[in-house]
Amino acid sequence: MIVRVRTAAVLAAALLVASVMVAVPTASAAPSCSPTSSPTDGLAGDDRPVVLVPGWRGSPLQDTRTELEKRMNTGWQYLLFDYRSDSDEWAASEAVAGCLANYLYAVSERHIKAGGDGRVFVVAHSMGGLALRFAVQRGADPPPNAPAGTSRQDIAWRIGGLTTLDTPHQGAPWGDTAYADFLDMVGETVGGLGPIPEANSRASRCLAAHTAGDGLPEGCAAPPYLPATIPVHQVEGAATVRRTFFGLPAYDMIVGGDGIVPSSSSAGYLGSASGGTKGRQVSIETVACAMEAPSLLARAGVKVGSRAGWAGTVIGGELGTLAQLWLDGDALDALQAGRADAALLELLALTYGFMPCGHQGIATMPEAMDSTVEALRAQAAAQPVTDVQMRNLQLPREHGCGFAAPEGQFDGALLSDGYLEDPSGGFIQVEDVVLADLDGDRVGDGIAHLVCSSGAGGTSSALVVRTATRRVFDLPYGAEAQEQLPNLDVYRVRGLTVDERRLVVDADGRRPWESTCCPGAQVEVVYDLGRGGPRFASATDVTPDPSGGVVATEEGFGPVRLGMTFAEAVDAAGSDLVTAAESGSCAIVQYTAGAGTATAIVPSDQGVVSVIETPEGTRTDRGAGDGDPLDVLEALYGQTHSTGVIDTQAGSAAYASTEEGGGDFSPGPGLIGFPFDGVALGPPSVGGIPGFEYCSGA
Amino acid sequence: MARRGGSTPAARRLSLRALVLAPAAVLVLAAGVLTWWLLTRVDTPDSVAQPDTPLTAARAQQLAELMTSGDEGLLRRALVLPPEQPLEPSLARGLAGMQLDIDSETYEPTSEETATVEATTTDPAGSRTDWTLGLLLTDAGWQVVHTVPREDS
Repeated sequence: MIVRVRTAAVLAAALLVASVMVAVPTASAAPSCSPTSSPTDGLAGDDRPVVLVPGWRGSPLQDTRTELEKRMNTGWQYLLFDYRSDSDEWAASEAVAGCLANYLYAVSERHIKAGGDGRVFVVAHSMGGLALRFAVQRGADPPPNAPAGTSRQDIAWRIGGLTTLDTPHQGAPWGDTAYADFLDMVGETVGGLGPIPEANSRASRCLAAHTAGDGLPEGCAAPPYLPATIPVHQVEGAATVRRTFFGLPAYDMIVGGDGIVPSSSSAGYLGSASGGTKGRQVSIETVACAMEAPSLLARAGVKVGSRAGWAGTVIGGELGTLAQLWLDGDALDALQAGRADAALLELLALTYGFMPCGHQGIATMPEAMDSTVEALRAQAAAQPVTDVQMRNLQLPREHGCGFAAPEGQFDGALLSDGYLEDPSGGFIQVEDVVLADLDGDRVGDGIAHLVCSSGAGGTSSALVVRTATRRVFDLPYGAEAQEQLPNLDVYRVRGLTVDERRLVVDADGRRPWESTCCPGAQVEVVYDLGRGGPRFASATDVTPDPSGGVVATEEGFGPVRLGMTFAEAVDAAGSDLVTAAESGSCAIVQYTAGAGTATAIVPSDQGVVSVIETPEGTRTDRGAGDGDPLDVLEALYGQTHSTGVIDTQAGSAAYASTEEGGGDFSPGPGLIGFPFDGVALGPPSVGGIPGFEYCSGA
Repeated sequence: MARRGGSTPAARRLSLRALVLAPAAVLVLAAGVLTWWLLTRVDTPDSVAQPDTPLTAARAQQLAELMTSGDEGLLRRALVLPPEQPLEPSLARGLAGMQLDIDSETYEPTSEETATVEATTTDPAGSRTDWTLGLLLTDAGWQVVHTVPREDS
């Protein structure tokens, strides 16, 4: 009852003042971006830009800028983002998140043009922290001169870090409740409580307490996690109201927050959105303050007194509700449980407005500013990438594994302990991680070799780089290699080696006729290392030649030539001779050459070497041979020979002959045959056709 | 040409102006009076409803004795406290070392159930401090809600 009486008095008084003394018309602004944010044209490349984002109905954080400049000026430049005219909108709105994304993009671009790395740091008070989360999810609008249909610009990599000052990551207990009205009026009455969303505004409704979005009213988008590469530092105010009598402490009342945002929310980034939390760099600093209840009341009285001539009445005015609070165990229970209670809210309003670590005070509180400066320094410092970070990597939206992170759902591509399930049934697994300086800044970066499976059989590889400056990008080794090796599908990584100058990717290449199981080519893709990261240098087919350079000609293979006698062939084979014997109507000389053992056949009716069967992996001097498709034969011999395919007792065979149509395929010079399985050629037979019987009784 | 009776154009303009301005003046005056009345209603103690039971000199004396008794049980009877709220042990001890004078003549109601009163403490070293006490009328009579040092003390 007392509360109701006091509330009525407070509301009536507020209405009176509002209607009689401070009848200021409400400005209605178009939902366009405010032109009063700090200009970006003075950015220096050597300075690190910090954008200060206010909270609901907040003015640009000029006082925060002043405090930060006192502590850390050289090398830093603080810019004020202004969205006053739309700050009763929910943080996800175009007028807030959209404008912020565009502003951050503009700052980043300007920084790059000035010679910087484009990384922008954000310090956000209250709802400003939520605005940043939505802004990164949304991305920036394409430049005005971009072609129609250009998609929004990803700004995630441009954000060097976020520091939140009492941001309600998990909402606030008074959001979307009738208490929002009450608190709003108390704020107006006590005076200068400043930025509280209008009751029933979207900002007020959407600030309902929630866990990972569960509990938000309809139409309120849940704030998404930032990509894991963006470190988040949370500064939370923790107020204690100390009750005293005649200056002697009686007991402490732990407010459990800053008067409006409970600690669980202002330090509740993790758990505020759906998705995994591994690999995220999140820190919390609690800045505490305690104030004796009489001092709190006195401070409120002075403030109100100076504003509206009510000096002295506040102590009496607040007396009833505070007395009720002190008496009412339920109110204290509500405080402990984080629930709203009318008497409690009035105390919280005082805390909010008048305590150093209260919601308003924290934006300039010395301890909070110290913590912010420390966080900025840590975020700006390039830290060597770790193996754990690489195995819990936030993949870029587009990466070589073929499926993209769903728009706006960063956790759709978040590796967890080196593994990620593709929603379509496949998976991504970290095969290997290499840590090295890839961008020449002398701080270790990381490159992850990912094995990708679509779930339909077969695997491919992707390479994802994360730099110490937290930029994450795909290394399109396959596409870049194919520019130089158009007949090869370079699709699978076998290994990575890095030295100071270059990164070498050893990869499998597949020729068009080869199946995914058995790639025939090996490719070396080389990247030069230096400022800016790996730059593609070359791709080379380094498939080992099994023949050791020994090729089949129309005259012979290795030391043995067509037309040699048996004895001459044995002599020519020399130490490479394996066997020399008669077999049926032929004499056979086997000798080592190229990748294996060749067989020279001396039919007795001819008395000289007429056919030489070469070992696997052998090619002709024109380049046709084991593994090639039939059209290679046509391409290489078609101008000077007749080519074709004939059936033999052992299956099909292809040939190139100096005689029209192959003549009668008599063994001897001018004829080269190949086993042909319908897909690819086998090793050549010099002077003969594989499958033809040249020796009887063998 | 004979002129027909009636006002001159100048007189007509005057009466038209009076017709417009007079109600406006009345409205401004009424708004001013209303504003003055509303403001003085809030600021003037006369507009505050009076408690049924004023703070007597005897109750003021009793409150002072309870608070300086050194006994926590007695101290609790003088203070507005949540039930079961533990107190710093030093509170009762510290208050016991003080001399407390509550001046019931300064009693000033702020609502049907609240009031303020001036008090003075003298510590063992003889140092004096003036306070404004916030009071709440409960079933146990007037109790102390808080004690705010007076700026002029």
